[in-house]
Amino acid sequence: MLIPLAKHRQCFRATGLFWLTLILLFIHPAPVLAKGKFLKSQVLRQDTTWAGDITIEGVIVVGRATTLTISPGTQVSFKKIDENHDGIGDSEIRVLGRILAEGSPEQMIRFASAENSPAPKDWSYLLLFTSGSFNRIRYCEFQHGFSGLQVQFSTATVTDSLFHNNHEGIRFGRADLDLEHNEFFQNDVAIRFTRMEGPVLINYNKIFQNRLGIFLVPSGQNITDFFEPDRSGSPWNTGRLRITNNDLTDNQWYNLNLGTKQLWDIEVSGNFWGSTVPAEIESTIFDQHRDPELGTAIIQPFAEHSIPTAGVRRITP
Amino acid sequence: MTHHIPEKSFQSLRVKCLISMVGTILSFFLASTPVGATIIEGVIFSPAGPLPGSTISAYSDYQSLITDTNPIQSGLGDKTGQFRIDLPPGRYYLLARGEADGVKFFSYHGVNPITVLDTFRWLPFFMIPESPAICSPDGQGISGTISYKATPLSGGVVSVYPEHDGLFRGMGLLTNTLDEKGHFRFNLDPGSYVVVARRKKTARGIGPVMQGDLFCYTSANPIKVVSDQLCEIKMECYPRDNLLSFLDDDEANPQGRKHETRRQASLWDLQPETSQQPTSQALSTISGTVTDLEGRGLANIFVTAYPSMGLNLFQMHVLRLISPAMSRTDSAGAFNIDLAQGGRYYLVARDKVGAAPDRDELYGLYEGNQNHSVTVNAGEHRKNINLTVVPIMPASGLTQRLKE
Repeated sequence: MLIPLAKHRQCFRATGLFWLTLILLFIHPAPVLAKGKFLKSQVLRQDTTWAGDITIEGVIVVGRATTLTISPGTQVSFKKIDENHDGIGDSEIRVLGRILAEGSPEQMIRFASAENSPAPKDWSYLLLFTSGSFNRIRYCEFQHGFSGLQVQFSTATVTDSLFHNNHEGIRFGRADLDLEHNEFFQNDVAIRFTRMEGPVLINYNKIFQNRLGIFLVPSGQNITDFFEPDRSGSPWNTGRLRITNNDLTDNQWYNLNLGTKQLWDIEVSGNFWGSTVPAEIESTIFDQHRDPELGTAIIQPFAEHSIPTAGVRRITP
Repeated sequence: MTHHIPEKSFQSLRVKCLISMVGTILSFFLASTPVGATIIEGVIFSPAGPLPGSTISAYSDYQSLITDTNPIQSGLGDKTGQFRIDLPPGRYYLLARGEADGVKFFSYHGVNPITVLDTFRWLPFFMIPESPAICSPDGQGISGTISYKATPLSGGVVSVYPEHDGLFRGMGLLTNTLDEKGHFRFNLDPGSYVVVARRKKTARGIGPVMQGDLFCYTSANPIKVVSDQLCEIKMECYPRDNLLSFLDDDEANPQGRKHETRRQASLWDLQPETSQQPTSQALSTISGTVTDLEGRGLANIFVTAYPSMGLNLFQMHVLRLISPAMSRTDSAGAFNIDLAQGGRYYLVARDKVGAAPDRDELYGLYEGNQNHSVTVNAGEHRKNINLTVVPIMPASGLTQRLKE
């Protein structure tokens, strides 16, 4: 039987389209979509999108060549396992590639314990470690972690997120980090900074009702003079770390705590400390006023009222 | 006519002959190398040339070196300034001592402790004058100046280690960059410390001392710091495997390699100080390649295997430790790490060693599993262990914003 030429062409086109689709699929594998999943330890080697409820038991590594995208409204829960018996849950997400966790005011992304009676340290952290990409954390909520988020040797923008009921809200060392419009409360330490470098911007955040607000402490790894301030007489953080326009109030021990060997002055003007009386503000800061070996926190000029635009923005900017 | 030797005399003759043969063989061995020993030869230079009468002492540990306890001493080599020492396989700290014109010289070899296996080795020693630490009530710690051929070691890196460290590699307790005058100062708690300085030819961190890099160690080491005393030292350097740079300008090159066949052995000294172990005795090996995201092999990347030390989970602090199991990729990106023993190792590939990861540095962890680890059994060779590196911590523009 003869097939009309037009049908022949159609058949040819359809076959060609089929093969083309197949080839494209192999060249550009579609991102894996995980919606409502229970995940054991693994390395993600293919771009992946999470949505719905994701439960993690173990360590999820986001590989170098991989982007993990987390959809708005996703609930990421961590089962508590403690193989090394250090009292800290071992479950974590470790990002070597890239993470884009961008929720919305209405649909925040939640990282929390999967336990029935959740508590701080039920899981380790969302860790950005030696990432080679720009990472974005936006409209996320972190609770019950050892640290909600750690940024080490990586670049990230963290905005409009909540950090509460963690051992530490966020910890970072050498990092390129923009931390704006977040809220930290009911953590043991809200922000722990372990390396005197930068660039780091801590701007328009609300930091309240933690034991310590901001805790600057050198890394125990190696104390070198690489990070020593220049000899110009400027505070060491000039051009490296800016802490301004934040509400730093009502933290139980100190709003700001300079750790051991923080020998240099630090400029922290433009923040609201819950008071307009310098002596009262100084009583909430652990610096040279309490330990003569430490540098001084330069608070003047300070804000006389709560920063109206600090904290999570209820409307997506 | 046939002479017959009585049976008894014949037996006696056979015994004598046997004794004579055994004696000859024994005397040959006794006169050369002790059974199980390895020959180390080399030459000892001062800037003026070979330093006659100098000796090498080999110690089993650093404590023995500083107390001069039970050293194995070298003998004279074939030519002026040369030495020969026979060492049973093991790890040794080698120290050269000598004297010229009333000045005492010494040299602490930059690859100490040296692993001696069954392979002949040629080691050059570059001698520098001994210099004591002078302590005064001017603070508490160690300060000093570091120079090479009377020029301050500007841009070099000086590190201080606790005496018990023994290896004196990596960043130690404290690390300072030297100013233009080669000056440094460490404020320290009372204790015993070792100061080592280095200057790399290329800006690749403070990694292993390579050919042409400068290595500096003072005879004042270890330095005792006591309360309210600042100890001042003057430290001189020598170049790793760069004799022509070390010798004074008017000196002829007296390089004394005896045989062409030994050139290969002498090249051991061109290896990084942390990868000195010949492969013939390695019990386990990990090999593979380091590539970029496009799969292209990358040359000159350091690959380090960190023993897991019983940790089942990867933890960041492991990467702060010092591991002697290190290799560097060849032009095709291939690496080969020889390990003294089997076990589980965390693998890291990176541009630099000895410092924290830095912006735009090429860096990668092994991603074969979530722990970034490879398990290798004793005597096993694990192949095709591949790592991918990328430039880390890209600039976001925040630095510029903070300056505004």
